Amino acid sequence: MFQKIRTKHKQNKLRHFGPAIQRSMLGAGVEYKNKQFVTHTTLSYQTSAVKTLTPRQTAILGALLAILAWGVIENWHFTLTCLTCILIVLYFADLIFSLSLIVRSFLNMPEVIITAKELGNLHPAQLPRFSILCPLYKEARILPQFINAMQSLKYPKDKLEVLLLFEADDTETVTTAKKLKLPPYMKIVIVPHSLPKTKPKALNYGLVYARGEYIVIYDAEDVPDPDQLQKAVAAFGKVDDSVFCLQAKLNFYNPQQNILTRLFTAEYSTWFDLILTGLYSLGGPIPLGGTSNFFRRKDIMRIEGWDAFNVCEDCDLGMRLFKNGYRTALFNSTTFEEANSQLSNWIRQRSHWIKGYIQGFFVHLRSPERFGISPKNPHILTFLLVVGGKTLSVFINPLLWIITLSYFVFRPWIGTFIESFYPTPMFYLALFTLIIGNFIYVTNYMLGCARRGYWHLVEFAYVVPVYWLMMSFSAWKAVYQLLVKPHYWEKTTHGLHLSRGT
Amino acid sequence: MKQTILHILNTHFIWVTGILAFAAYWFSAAFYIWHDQITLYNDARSRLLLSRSVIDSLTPGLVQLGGVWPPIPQIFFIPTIWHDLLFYSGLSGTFVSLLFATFAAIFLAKLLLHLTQNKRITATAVCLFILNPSFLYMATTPMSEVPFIALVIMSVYFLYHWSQTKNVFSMFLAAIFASLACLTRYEGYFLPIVGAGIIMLQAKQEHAPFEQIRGKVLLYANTAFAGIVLWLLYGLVIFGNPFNFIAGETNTYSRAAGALSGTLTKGNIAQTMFALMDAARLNIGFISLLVLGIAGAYALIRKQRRFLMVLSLFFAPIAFVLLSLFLGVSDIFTWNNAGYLYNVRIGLLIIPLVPIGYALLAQEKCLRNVLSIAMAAQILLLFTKPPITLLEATNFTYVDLRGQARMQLTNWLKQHPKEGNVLISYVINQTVIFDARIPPATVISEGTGDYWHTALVSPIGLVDRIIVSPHEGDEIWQQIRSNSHYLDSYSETFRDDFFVVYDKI
Repeated sequence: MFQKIRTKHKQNKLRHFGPAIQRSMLGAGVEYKNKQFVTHTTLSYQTSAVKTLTPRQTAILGALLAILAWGVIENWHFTLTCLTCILIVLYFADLIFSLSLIVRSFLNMPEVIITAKELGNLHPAQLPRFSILCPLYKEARILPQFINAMQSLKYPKDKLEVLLLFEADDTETVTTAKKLKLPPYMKIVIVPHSLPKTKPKALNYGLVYARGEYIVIYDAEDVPDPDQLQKAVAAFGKVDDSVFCLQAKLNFYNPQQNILTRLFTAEYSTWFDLILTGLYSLGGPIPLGGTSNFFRRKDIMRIEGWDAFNVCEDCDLGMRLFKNGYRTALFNSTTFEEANSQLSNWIRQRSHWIKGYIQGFFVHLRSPERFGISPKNPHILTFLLVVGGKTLSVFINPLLWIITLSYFVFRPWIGTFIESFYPTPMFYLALFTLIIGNFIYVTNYMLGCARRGYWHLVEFAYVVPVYWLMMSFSAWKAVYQLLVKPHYWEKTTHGLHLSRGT
Repeated sequence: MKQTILHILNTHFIWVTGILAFAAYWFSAAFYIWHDQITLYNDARSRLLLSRSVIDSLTPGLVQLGGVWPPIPQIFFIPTIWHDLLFYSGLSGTFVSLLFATFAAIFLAKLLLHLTQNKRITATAVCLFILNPSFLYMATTPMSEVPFIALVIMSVYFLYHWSQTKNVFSMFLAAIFASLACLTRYEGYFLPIVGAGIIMLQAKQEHAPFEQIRGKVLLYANTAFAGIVLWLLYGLVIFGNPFNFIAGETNTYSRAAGALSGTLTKGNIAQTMFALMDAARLNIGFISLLVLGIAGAYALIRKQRRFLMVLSLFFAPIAFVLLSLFLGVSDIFTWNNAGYLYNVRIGLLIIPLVPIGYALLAQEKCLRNVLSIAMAAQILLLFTKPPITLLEATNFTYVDLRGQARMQLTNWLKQHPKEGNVLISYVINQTVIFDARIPPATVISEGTGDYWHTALVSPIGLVDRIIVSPHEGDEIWQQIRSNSHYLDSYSETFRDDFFVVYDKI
């Protein structure tokens, strides 16, 4: 019996194995449950999502659940009242925090601004070498559009290197790429098969071959502003050395395709033009968008690339940068992407993101003090609210909506019962958060659209609650996946707009 | 030294304006506190009482804000209202009015500076605003006029700022302040309409596509009308009727004022205009009114678009007053149309227009000196008499017979305190509760739900003292008249023409 447990424990123990070549990360990875995971990064498993929960976290979570169960058995009403109060305070804190971010994003300089004059001052001969990493998996359909977008970049092509990162089993995309007669600065890189099969692993692999002084990541469906690379170079020249990453803003080129793309665009406009800019002005940790992240090559190597196990490697990297004392800045350039136009595809994408956020939350909760816990630097709260709070709320929203709806519809019968869970001050706080809070969240979407100049989308903010409902559904799907296949990279289909000729 | 002062004035113009305004209002407050005149208005005491009831009554809670007046001033009183001294002295409300008055001066200065680009004109115009005696008095009272005027000024400033800079956040702030103005006084209800109209016109002038016009109007209207929607929602959730403020049981507006209304101005345009103009004249003076008229005509003839935009926004609440006078749902009585003062303070809503009108005309260099002298003379003239708002408030409290009777009653109640609950109609006699220092937590009135309804049927076991006005408007009196056993356990302890008090035997 003991022998069996000991054997199982040995198998479950994580073990690093080193890179094939010294001073490189190529071939590095971890061994877990008798499986070898080649991640091409030397990143410690302690800061990785290879295991969602550490034994310590499992114990704490278990203890909390046990206390909750004990409370429910001993005095269920009091326990649920306490739980309600905690939730109300959390929602209220999130509301105030969101509001402060919006105000900050309007009142402060929200991003690094590169003017046309500054761009003009950049001499082509002095521009550094740039490497573009583009992980592509089953993207044959959209590949021509991507190639065009890369060719439209105004950066001198002799200083540009585009690495198209294909998976070994994706023959269709590789064949399409070969047929397209790629220009010499575009290179095909085949990522050898290994587990986990994720985008961050492909990026780590691509990083080994990248020769540019600067690195940027683009997704298959991206169409960046043609002068984005020059702006990034200029922006790196303007910011101090603590800025490790520059994030271009993301938005969509197909908002008008259907109601889903309109709502998605409204959400992105709010997130990138208001929330992230607010976070930047606050000096807090910024969860990166999965694309258009710019790094100096030496910097991204110093922080050992991406966590191959985290399906939201962008958010994870943003947090990791901050914990290591580095900053992320936004600059005034936009990459346009494809807004997901199909509900099932959207749910797949969203559940994938939420799963990644949960992974990131637990990974970074292992050393929360590194976010800053002093009153002067309380960015642990920023992390908890941005990564934890926003994720938690999508789980709980449907429950609260049901309670609210029941309260008003069945008030004569269950009104008093529901009220009994809300001590008077909490009742008012809940009422405020319900009415004013939801109003503010909806208005945020309007402001996001307005700031982006998408006035035609302003009215769609009223439909956003339906969008939140869809997010909640995706969140529960994400939890299921996290339990069943935590490292599975659920593929989002791209190019749906092409069939519509948008 | 002179150079230094001029430099400070020049570089910190808005700050200096704010500090001077704050000093002027505090000075005024000190004067009226010294003379014990800040709670002379019945409405001032009622508002204080409403605010206190939220935290201190038989049924505390937001429901106590009631459906009579929009709630913003009372909500702002809450942080200090728990303190007896601040509550009974009225200082809880004075602090709020002073703060709003200061913000009003600051944002008016900012607006004028944008409009004229001239600090000298701006300084003179702001002085006209700050030194108005009626406003100086109102800035010390726990009333809603000053917060309302301040919120309107802020909304106008930000909408003007948006029109010049196209800054989305300015438009949003304009909408927020318009919304708060609607939650302060009903006269604010036309402000979002005019604001939305201006946004639409501007966008049309810029040949913006329809979708853009719709988006802009929607972004503004969504927030600007939210105040009205919230107030209706509050009525629906708390009282089960979104239009409770029109027909609710605690609505003094519909009952007490309703009894007076419609006598003069209903359906009569001439009387409507006269009532408002006379009230305005009493507040800002004849010369100011004349200058304002000339400025309006000048702006129209010379097509001064920026000024017309600002003037039309400030005119929105006045248009609401005119409509409500014409429809007979409110009244303004002056010495000239009724022989006494009632609601004359509403004429004060015109006050932000005075500095704007002055600033517009003062841009003509040939007029500047004459205008400045005339306006200075007007201010001096206004200071030769007590402010009209103070006279109106005094009229409320001391002059009429009912006011005198109330004073007698409150003196008697102070001399004959009684333990236990007091049944009194809040609608009719709310100021008695305040003046006689009856603890709000012992009062059973319309806002106390089941307590009130039970006590109306049978007061025994619940009520130790009944204070009633012997006329049909008082529901308690109706019960006494219809139920011969209602007072079986009570004996009359006080009576005059206006009030009767019964104490439990």
